[in-house]
Amino acid sequence: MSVRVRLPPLLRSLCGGEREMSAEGASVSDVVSDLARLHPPFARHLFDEAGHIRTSIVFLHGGVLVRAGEAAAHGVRDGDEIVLTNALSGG
Amino acid sequence: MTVALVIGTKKGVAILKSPDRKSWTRDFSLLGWEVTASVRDDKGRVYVAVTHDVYGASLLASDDLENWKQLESAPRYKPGEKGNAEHIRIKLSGDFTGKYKDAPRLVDQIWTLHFAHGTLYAGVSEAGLFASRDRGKSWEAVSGFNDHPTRESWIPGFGGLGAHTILSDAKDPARMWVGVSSAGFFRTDDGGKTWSQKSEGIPGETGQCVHHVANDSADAGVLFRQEHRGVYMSADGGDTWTKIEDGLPVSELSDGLSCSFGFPIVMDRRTGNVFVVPLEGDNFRVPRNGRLAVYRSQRGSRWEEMRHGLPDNSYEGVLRGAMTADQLDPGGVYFGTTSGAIYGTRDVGESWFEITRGLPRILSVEAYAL
Repeated sequence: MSVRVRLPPLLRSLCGGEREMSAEGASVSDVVSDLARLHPPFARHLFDEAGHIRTSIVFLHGGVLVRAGEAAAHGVRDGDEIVLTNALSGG
Repeated sequence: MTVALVIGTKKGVAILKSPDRKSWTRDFSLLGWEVTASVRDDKGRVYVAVTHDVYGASLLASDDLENWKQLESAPRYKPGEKGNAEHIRIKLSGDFTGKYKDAPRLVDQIWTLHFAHGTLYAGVSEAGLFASRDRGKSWEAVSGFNDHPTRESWIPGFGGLGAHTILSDAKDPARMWVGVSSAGFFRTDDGGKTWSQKSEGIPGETGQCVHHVANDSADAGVLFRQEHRGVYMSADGGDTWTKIEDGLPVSELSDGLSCSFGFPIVMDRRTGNVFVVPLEGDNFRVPRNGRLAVYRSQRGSRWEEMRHGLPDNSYEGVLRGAMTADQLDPGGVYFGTTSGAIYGTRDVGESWFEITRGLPRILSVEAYAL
């Protein structure tokens, strides 16, 4: 399944300014892994030393907030869009 | 000769260039990334270290100081290496439940970069040393340091457990020094296999909180050290240290000790002049009485205040990596403040001028002659 991933402004500077990219997968986690495979500079910014999605990254999928720890169990469909962003804090 | 200053800030990198060290151009890029360190290799390529609270640390390189490309590899611990719980608590905000007790060791920041004998080195936090022998394509942990027998007793400083200073010996590739807040200052004489603590003569009841160390790699055994608890010199490669505070202002630390507190220490190698920026003790960390001042010493002799051109009513600090010397003749020295101003001298400290202001908090400053 091909999914569009909208990137946060900070990471766009690593990929020539692209706002979004396409990647394949059946879950949010799969899609993120494919994104890192396609664009290796992203890998260390998306995954920690243990190979887990960094804990402060969150995703928006169809209006649902998906936390890093939920990404493997959260399915996606062909043509979906995922917004890759980070947990916000402060006031 | 054009001088380029690579200024790492809390929100990106500023590149300042000048053909005469009088008029400067300024560019700003890598917006949003904390730029924590830079170094130039022997082919003229400049590397910068970046980090971000969410997206972690990595390295970028440029051949023209305009176009930056991220390296595919950067220092990283192996999965499963046990982390320092106190460091992780500092870095990942308050943890009063002990959930980080068994957390893994993570590279959250590259504090310093160093190039010597064809090898690129990175000092990181959680404290560790990594080496790349292929100009950043791949990195290997210096396990003799990272798995040091005393590691379990290492205590983080205020900013975490970071390896922030790397020095080398131009005549002896097997000899290096690494400073860690606040574990101490270590030397290897066997190419990194074993490391010895080098702090004899420095009071360490509250830990060896080395802030920064400078040397001339051509005469590497002469070391100048800004410690949390004062300024010291060693003439024997760090085996023994002597306090050198004659002429320096001292202030009271939180534990009652009076000494000269500060962070950076740099050396103009051509003249042997050493520079520090004393601050008002560890509780306050601002210039004494609001008078931003640099002090200069000729190889450890009596310090002189050198502040012609520096401001009064200044309550900004200077971080450990935010001062450097360009090693030209006459020597230029430059430093950046926590309020985003850059000051410089082109006459070895006799007079200072403001180069720019309005930058984010300045974390690192390096000068390269182009």
